[in-house]
Amino acid sequence: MDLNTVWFGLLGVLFIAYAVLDGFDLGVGIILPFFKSDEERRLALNSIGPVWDGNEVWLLTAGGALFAAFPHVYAGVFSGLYSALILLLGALIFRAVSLEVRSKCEGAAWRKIWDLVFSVCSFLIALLLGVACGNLVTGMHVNAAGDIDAGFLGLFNLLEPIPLFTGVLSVCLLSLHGALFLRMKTQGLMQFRTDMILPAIFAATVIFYIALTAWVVLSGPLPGTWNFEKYEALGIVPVLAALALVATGIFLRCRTFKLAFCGTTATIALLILTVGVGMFPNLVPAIGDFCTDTKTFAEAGNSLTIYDSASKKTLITMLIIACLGIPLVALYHVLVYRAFSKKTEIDEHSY
Amino acid sequence: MDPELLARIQFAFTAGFHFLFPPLSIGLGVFLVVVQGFAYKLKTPEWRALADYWTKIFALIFAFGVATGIVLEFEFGTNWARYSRYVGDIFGSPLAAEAIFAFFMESCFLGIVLFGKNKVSEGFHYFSVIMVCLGAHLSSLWILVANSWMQTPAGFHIVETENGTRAEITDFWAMVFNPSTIDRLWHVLVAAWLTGAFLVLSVSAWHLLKNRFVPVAQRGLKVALSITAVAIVLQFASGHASAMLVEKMQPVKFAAMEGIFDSNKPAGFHIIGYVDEEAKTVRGLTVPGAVSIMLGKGLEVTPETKVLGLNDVPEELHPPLQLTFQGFHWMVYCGIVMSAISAIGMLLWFRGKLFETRWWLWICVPAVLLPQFANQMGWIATEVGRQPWIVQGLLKTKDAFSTNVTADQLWFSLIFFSFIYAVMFALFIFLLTKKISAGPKTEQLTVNNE
Repeated sequence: MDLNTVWFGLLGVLFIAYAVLDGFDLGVGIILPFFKSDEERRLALNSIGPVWDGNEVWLLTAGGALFAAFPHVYAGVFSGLYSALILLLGALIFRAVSLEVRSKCEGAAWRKIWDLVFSVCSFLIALLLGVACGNLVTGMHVNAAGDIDAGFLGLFNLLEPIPLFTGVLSVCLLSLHGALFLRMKTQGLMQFRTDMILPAIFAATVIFYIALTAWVVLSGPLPGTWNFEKYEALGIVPVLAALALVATGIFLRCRTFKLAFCGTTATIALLILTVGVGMFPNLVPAIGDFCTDTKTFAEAGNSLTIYDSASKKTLITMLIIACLGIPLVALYHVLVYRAFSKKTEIDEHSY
Repeated sequence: MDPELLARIQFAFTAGFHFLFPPLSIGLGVFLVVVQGFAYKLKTPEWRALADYWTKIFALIFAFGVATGIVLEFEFGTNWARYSRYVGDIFGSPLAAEAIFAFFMESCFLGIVLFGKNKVSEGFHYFSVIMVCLGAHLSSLWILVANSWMQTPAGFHIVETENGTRAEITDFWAMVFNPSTIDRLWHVLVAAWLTGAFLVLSVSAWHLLKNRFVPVAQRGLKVALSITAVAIVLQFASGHASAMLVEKMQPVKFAAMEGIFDSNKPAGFHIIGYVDEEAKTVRGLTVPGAVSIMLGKGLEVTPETKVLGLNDVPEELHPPLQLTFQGFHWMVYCGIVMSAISAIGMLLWFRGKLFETRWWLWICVPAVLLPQFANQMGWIATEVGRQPWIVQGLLKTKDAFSTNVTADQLWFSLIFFSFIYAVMFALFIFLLTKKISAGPKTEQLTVNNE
């Protein structure tokens, strides 16, 4: 296995860690409007309060790693998806701000407004990241210089049906993930409230999951799924993802919520893995490169691949940094999650 | 307006706005290590109230710092794609290292500091305070590595690849400890300590003037004043070292900062002035030869002791002169006023009149703006002074911005960020003043008095 492949895998690990960890923060944000009273909302927000910030750092790390290991790809993707990224930044900023300020004033209107901002931002982040995943499946318009053309306003080429479906699925799946997290972290009335919405969220997730799968399969070979045509055994990955979602449903039915949370965790991870193994060794498959008849990519096409990387020396240096850093990061997470392993309660230090 | 200028305005604006917060969190981090330490050791209600109070304010500042910081990591790719392609092999690593070594440490342990008071042992809580402070410092280390490399690039070579010409790393440690990293890191860290300490100084002075929360404010004032007194001395030393280095490594920037045009005369120090670019001179009050003497070059001009003047540099390599000159000078003025304030404060302290001298307390209240202004001015001097280069001597700014982002998109994002940051700034000031006027929780204090 060459260094470039290792870095492709590491990037995958970083994005999966982000989606799984910040995923439940986003999910809690999306379902926040279902909780009506201020106390319920504070319980929900304080469940993620001590950890959400650390979870978000995974996204920054993934971005930094993409920059360091694949600068040409980072430059192409970030400048090409300019408008979408500016929107994402706005949502990330206001999510942080709204959470921080909402409990700083007593007024009911003040808190309602910031709760709404928090929800909308969480929704937007989940949607936009989902749409981005979908665009990796359908491929993007990449030119020879490695620049991406995202169409009118730098946005509209991105909103094809499949990316829209992945966006909505991302919103549903992360809501489910977040709701299960809350179910584990709370007690009494909060658990009851969460129980009320869990079946509906699960149903929505399943519906969009089936619809998306059907659409992708019926669309025939796509630039981001070509490996499944080449190596049929890889089909096990999406099948496992589907099984994980089924298992989540069974655990929900048995009311074993910790296992159900493990189920959504596995579903999220396996779905990202599906995208990853489907497009490898491309990082951004180019639409024009892919020939649907032969189901192969043109040699020396415009796709951004793992070989558009930093120098070998940088890849090795960064690998050492990752090997030193990731155990430390894991230790910090263990310390934090152990300190807050109990059910959430409101005290004078809460939001 | 052309995309290059818009991209530069946007970066300057978003970086400048972000830079209001990290120095505060680094400086308050140091302050918190001290006062949480007192609270942990002495366990008196006054120290505990002080520590709790500033931890809450720290949380607010940290959140705004994080929210505005994400933008910058994205912007290298969105607005400076050609830069990212050209130097990404070198520049990406410190950013990734910052996330993995610093951000995780800061944000994970901050969770424990803010929410874990009743959930972990007191000792572990204090350990977390130290880790947050350490994380903040490490974060500035990596970002200063990245920025210093743009000033004094080292440890690389230029390579032709299939994705175009680019700089590739040859020596990681030479890149990390490039000639200006250590000097600039010290300068920025000490500036940050001053920024945090002056906020505490200002708020404590205000509380003392209003005769509220007196025992807490007195302790805050003393700790903050001690920090400023040490830091301001260090700052003049590090500032001098930085200036010497700029003269050696970036002589054009130095000439612009000091307003030196003629290489054949000993360089004078302009106490106050403005750059007359037409007449190629600085008008104002000048001490002849002072800069040459400060550089240790004496008043005799020989090829070795010559200080480069702008007349010897082709005009296309001049940075914007007025901005660089004024940025540098106003930073120095702020430093001088800050040193006067802390010197007088120390004098009053030794005479035992610190809390009674109302005029000095009144000066401390607006003094919170001094380090902030100095930070911004210093940043302008160093970044504008490097122009037209984005990486000194290697890549020009005009060759670095994203060509595939249109002016329309840039207008949209610039207006978008202006709107967001205006809202954020208003919110920040509103919540900060609310916190300041609410003061520390005093119920702990009254319990003690009974």
